Amino acid sequence: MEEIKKIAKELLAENKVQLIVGFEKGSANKVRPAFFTKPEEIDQLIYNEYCIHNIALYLKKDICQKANNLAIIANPNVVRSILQLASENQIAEEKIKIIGISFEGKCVGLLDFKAAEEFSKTQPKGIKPEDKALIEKIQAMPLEERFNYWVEAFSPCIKCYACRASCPMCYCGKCNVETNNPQWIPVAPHKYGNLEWHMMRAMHLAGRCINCGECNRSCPVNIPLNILSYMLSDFILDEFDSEAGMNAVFTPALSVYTSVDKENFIK
Amino acid sequence: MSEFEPKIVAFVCNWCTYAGADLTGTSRIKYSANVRIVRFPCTGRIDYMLLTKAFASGADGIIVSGCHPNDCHYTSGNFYARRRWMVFKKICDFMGIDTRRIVFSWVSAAEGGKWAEIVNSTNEEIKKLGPYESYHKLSTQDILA
Ligand code: SF4
Ligand code: SF4
Repeated sequence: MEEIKKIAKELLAENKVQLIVGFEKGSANKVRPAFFTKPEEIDQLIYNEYCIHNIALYLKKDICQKANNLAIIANPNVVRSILQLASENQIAEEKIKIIGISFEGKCVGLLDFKAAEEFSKTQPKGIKPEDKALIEKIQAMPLEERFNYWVEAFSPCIKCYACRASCPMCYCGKCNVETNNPQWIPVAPHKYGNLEWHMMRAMHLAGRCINCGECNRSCPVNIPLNILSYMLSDFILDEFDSEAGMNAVFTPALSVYTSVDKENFIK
Repeated sequence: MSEFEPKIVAFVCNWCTYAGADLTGTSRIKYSANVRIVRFPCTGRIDYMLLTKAFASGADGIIVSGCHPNDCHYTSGNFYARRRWMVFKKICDFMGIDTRRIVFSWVSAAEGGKWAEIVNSTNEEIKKLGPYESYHKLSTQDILA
């Protein structure tokens, strides 16, 4: 933690960046994301095992967009998000300094995109064995049971869109769920609307999800919606050898094609 | 009770399959009248949400069809579509949506006969499967429940 603070303080003191995105103490034992602009504020900066939020989310918010340059305290999920955002032309390398931290909490210093790519490869994958187990369990169910499983799993969804709000890759200015002409997704949180909302969310993140699990963590009713995205990530890796969050120059699987893509399902 | 007549919605591209379906007609080939054709500029334009909307609106089966690979009027629309269908089919399978009810095909403007076969075989298949009750129920009764 001292090392992180030292790097952060220097960056601000030497005017290398205008803003640092990190964490500070919240209420009780909690931590909360924080924005630092002066070297003396860095005393408030903390990093501990509770700092798991994917704060790459803020890179697309006004506060970061208005800064000419900034640094961010980046665990591997944040690093992968930055690489994915960079590949989608949402953040420029000149603008951002990445203070890399491994999943174990070890600071690896400042990373440029090249180093970030290397770092990202050395870190464990976001999809955990228990996620895989759940995916397999669902896949083993008969059709009707699978359908009912998801209808029931989505039924507590209140359409608060916290999952969308917490996902760094959900940065569209206007989301399809807010489109009301035509009304793609019903507004009311009934079972039918919930099913289509979750299908759409998963499709829009297909090949772009970096498997950070933030959507699931932020869900007030604990819906395992990240499993949908994880399952697709796995499928896309197998099928197209494409993995989001690993390269700063990258085209998501659904924005490219090859002439040899499978078509055994097409009559 | 009269025999179940499936409602089938076909999303087709303007340049190949729609023209192919026209040829089926001008060739006087008789085929199942259970299909409702919706014309799109390109398979690349066929949003997957339209498919779920079709099921929600009472369709029992869906056909999605366009130009063969390398024949797309816009060069690559069908290639992008092919990938999207793969991923969409995967997520549907995973979510328990009955993908036996969704038929993907390539039908060129010269394949009037093939179009009739696709529609007829889909119709037979859906007849065997019966109405898509679970999705229809979800999109109607369950909303009110
Ligand atoms: S969909 Fe969920 S797991 Fe994937 S990048 Fe977004 S927040 Fe992370
Ligand atoms: S965070 Fe949970 S309850 Fe809110 S919209 Fe997403 S899945 Fe539904």
